[in-house]
Amino acid sequence: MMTQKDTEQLIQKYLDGETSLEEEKQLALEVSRDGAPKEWKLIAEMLGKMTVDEAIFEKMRIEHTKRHLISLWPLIAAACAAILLMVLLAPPKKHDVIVQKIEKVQPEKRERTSYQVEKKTKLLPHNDHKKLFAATKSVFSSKPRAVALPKKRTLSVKVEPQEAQDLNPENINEVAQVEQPRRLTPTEQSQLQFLQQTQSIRVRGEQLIHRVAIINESARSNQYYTDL
Amino acid sequence: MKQEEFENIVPELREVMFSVGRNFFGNENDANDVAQEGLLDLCKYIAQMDVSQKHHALAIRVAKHCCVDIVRKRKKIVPLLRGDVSDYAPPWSNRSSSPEEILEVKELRLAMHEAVDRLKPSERQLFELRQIEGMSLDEIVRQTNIPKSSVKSMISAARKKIFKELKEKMK
Repeated sequence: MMTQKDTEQLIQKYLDGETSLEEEKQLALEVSRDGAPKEWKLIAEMLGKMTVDEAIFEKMRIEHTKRHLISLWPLIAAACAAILLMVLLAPPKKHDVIVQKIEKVQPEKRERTSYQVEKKTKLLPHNDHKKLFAATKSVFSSKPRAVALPKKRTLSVKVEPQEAQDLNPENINEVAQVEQPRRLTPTEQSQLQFLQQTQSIRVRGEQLIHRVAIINESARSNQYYTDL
Repeated sequence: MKQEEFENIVPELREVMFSVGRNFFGNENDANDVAQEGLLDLCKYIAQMDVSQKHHALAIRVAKHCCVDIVRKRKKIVPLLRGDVSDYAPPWSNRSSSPEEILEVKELRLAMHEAVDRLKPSERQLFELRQIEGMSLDEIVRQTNIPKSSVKSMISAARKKIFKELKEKMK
């Protein structure tokens, strides 16, 4: 809230046409207060009902929002306190104990599996290819078999013009298309590695559970004999 | 603006005022009241409204005034419905109960209208753009193509004239 002197200064500024819209809203709130001097009421009338009511409207909205937030604070604080208490005072769960026991067991030595990446096969000279193709063709043409072949990649080979002349036109396509075994992509390799690791972890986990069960069993039987 | 032109933009303005009312009261019944009363209030300004301009800002101002006015009226029936408006008693709030005070408020309003009517047309236009439409100085400069310093001095002159007249009438 402004002092009377501040309000009068603002009134003078308003009459000089120097006030901004925000200042006029502030002035509107001051001059329309209940019990304001008569002269101030004239300024309220001059500011107009729209300016004054707009200022009141905005003030009401701000205070309403503030009140709403203040009313929510105790609820938020209570919820936080309840969560904190639950976390601090909750008894340890069974699986926490098991985890502690499992941690004591020495982990097995992990075998490192290595994967040999197939080296890139060097392309043979075209004459050798011709021979290879002829040999393969003879094998397949003699004994036709319905075998599900693995997926193969087709490499296209650039043939130098000189070499192209040497080639038999019938066999150019056959020689150029060499079938190679499908190589694993880095993603597939990492997926395979991940699968193998998860499998080994699972096996280790099962072994651990089995051991813990044996330890528990023996402890129980010892207890039984001591009781006897 | 003519009545027919105003009727064309009524649905658009009603929607604007309805949303102001709904945001303020949080329900559609009161928002409808705000839109209805707001449109009636807007009718008073048809003569001052320009066809080429958008009047959303004016509609929002009128809707805000209606919201506060509705709260003011209800406060008479249900005290402490919303606890802010009781702190303010502008002349049009009808808080004064005695016949003398009511008469005084009416006289003040009449004097105000007369004082505005006596202004030069350019002064009156600028004064109303500021008072009714709530335009900033820059917006007034853009709309009227009058230099900012002139706008300031003309608004100042208009305000001083009105204030002087009102003071003399209310003595």
